[in-house]
Amino acid sequence: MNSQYEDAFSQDHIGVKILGYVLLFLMFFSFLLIAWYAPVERTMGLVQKIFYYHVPSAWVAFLAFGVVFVCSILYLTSKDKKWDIYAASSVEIGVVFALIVLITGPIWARPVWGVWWTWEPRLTTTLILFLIYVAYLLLRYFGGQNDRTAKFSAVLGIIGFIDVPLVYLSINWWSAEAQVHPQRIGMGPEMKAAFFVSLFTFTLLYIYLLIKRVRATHAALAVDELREQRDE
Amino acid sequence: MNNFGFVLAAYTIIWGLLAIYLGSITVKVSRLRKEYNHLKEYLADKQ
Repeated sequence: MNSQYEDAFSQDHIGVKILGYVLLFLMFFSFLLIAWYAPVERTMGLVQKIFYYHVPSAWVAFLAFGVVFVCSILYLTSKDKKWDIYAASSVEIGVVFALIVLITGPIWARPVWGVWWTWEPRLTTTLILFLIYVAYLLLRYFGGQNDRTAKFSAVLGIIGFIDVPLVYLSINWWSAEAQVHPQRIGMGPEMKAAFFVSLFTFTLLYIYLLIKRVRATHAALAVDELREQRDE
Repeated sequence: MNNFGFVLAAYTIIWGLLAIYLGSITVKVSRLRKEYNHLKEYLADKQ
């Protein structure tokens, strides 16, 4: 009568609880570093502080889609459902962080470039990346819970990852004249400290969200199992 | 909007989106837990 996924409803493992508290501390600490320790950038002024969340969000999006890529391959080769669950969960988180990048980027761009958006390589490839994985979510939502949808999603998760290096290397592959996105950002030691703490915080946040999201999927599967038993 | 306004808007959106996302997962699991317990009771009674 019990589902194999019943553990989804039990208390968080002590490690997850500790991770949650560490995250709370790090979020507060990184905010203090960004607000008071890192100096105000000379050219862009206060608005440059968006950088400390904008770039880590992009990193997490890349990481999330990289996890999707690996888990999708593992799912297609092993047919083990757990890889499909990890992939689908990671896509959702990746889309959230890609959305954060696409929103904070224009907010930063407006006072610095004078425009909210421009169709330059990095911005355009990032938007494409976001849309690819939104398509993945739509496929999962409308395709139903079956092996066929999981397989097609895995293929999309693998192919979609091609855009990640495109986004990252776009500043090298297109000429400087075609771009407004900065090629490199010079950072002093205080800025580097604030940036890397923020980067580390966001990475841990990704792990925490992934654990929570996988758990939610297990909870849904547990309910589905009992519904099937009820309907027998 | 001055630069502080842009920074405030960005930070609000970032933390707002993340809070909404984590909150939605928490609410989802809570609802599923209730349904799971209800189904368990139903199946136990049925037996």
